[in-house]
Amino acid sequence: MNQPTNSTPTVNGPATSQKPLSPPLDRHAVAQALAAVRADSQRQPETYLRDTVVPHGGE
Amino acid sequence: MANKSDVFQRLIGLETEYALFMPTSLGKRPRNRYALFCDLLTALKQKIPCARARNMKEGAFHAAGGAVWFETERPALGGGLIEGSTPECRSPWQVLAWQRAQDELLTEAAEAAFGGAIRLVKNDRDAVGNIYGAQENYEATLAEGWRLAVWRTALVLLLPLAVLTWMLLWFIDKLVEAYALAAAVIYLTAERLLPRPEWLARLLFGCSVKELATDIPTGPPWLDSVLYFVARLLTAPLALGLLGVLWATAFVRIRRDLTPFLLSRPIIAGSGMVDEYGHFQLADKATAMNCLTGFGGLLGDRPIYCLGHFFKTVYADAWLAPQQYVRLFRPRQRLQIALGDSNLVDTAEYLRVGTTLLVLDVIEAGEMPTVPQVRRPIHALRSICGDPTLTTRIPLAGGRRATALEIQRFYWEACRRFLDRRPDAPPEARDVLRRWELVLDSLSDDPQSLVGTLDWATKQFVLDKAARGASWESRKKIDIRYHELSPQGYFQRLKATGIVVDLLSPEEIEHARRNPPMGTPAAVRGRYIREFAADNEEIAANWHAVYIGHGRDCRVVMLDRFQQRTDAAKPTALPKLPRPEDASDR
Repeated sequence: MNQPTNSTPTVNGPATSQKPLSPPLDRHAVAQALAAVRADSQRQPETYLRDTVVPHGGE
Repeated sequence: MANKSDVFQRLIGLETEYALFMPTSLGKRPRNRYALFCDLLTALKQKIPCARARNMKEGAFHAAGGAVWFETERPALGGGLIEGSTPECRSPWQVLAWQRAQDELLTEAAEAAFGGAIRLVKNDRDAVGNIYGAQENYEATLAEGWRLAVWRTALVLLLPLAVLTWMLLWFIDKLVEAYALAAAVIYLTAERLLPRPEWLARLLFGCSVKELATDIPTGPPWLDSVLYFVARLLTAPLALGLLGVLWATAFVRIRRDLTPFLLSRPIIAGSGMVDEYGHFQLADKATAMNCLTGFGGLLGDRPIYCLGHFFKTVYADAWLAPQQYVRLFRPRQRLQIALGDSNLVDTAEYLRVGTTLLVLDVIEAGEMPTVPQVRRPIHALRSICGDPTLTTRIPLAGGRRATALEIQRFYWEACRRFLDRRPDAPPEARDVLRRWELVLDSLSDDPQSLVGTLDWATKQFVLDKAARGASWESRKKIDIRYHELSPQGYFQRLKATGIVVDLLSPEEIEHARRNPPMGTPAAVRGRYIREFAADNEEIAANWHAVYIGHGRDCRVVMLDRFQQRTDAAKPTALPKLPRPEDASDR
């Protein structure tokens, strides 16, 4: 069961986390991911679209 | 010089309705969505202490301060959504941390409950155009002066109509109970006369008798349709009266000054979408909006400013706790914005909330310069979202025209001047301003550099690189599966390459999974839930109170007094529990 962490807040805010707007690109890893997406997206796309329908929607 | 007390002081929170990926190829008839919600909630309770939500909507609050709901939308017809609410937060960084914590908790609960067979999808529109997803809530001034007086007078005058509506709905509720009893008697009688009358069971109960024992019935679809129609008919007079008053009095100045900002915000916070013609849109939900202000679905409307929670309080929540009605007299209320997408990229989520928060602060401080009003705002919103080149100029009052980028720069400049006059404003406000400027500059110079920083730019990049020349169905699958919260989700695959900018550290998300945000009502709610739910004490909660025990022994802790900001660095002390005889909100 999830236990509380100590009482000192650790969600510090942005002052301690100055990251660049865009990180350096690992072109090989990205190309591999895109190839996997391309292959998967062409595998029975109609079925996936039907299986993610939300009848009547929400708010 | 102004002090910092008017910067990032309000309570804020996000609501997210998650779609489900439910493979039909498994060969079994899928369980209804309410039953799935119950399974997910059971799994969530294994991960974090929870308390029953004392609310008209079924759900539970958890020890990190947030809540999980079953959003009932025609369940007998296959509808209904799992919805998560972040706890009340004070800053966009907090909202981001607790939203990511919620995404993780619910994803893990779904994995535990369904073993990966059913997965959450955090998007806003399915392939056939149904809308759901994200809502933002900001504490704001409803009205001042004569408008506040009109609003309060209307609340008094509407009370008899509200009571009549409550009584009619109570009567309908009793009729449904009587129907359930009558249906059981009819079926048991018919069973003696007819061999296996399964058709009768489906007609009366909406499922077979076997499913009645193993599943959680939602009733027959015909009864769902009848109740849906009757409920809308009976509540229509109250709804129309309340909407008219709200339209004339609620958040009038905010709606006037904030609208051009919201219409242009999709260039930063849109999550991108492939529309029914195969064109790329900047935002998933925006093109479904059909009015500025409304109740959200009740009258067939899709508003940018959703006031439906006022109506729910008047016709439903006040039924359980009359204090909810009294709270409506207060000048500070919840402003709900329905125009916004469920973001996966941290920067987009952070800026969606952070920039809106800053603009609200400027408006409420009375320091917003005259805002360029947009002519035909819904049409303008569609024009902006349909143009990923960001060059479309939308018509403004007075005959001028402006791009969405120019409108955003107008608001950025107003916020910069506002913060310049407040040297002791929270550093986070300046961080929002800095990142906002960087994003606007990049959108002007090279939008492609924002892959991994904004959702729409990232999704467009994936579509360009992985689906050029592909069928509409394949492109739409990329559009939707981008949002799937599992290792198979396309955003998650891309994130694993390091291309996506993470603002939060794993430690911050881990903290938000276990603890409520300090200095908020959620801090008190969450700590009581952890204290008492873990010991199997009977405990319930809502946004305003925690209820411990039941019946005459119920002790109530009101959370309203924790709405004022306290020192966020210190844990909120738990108030002494009132004696049962002192409890006033049963």
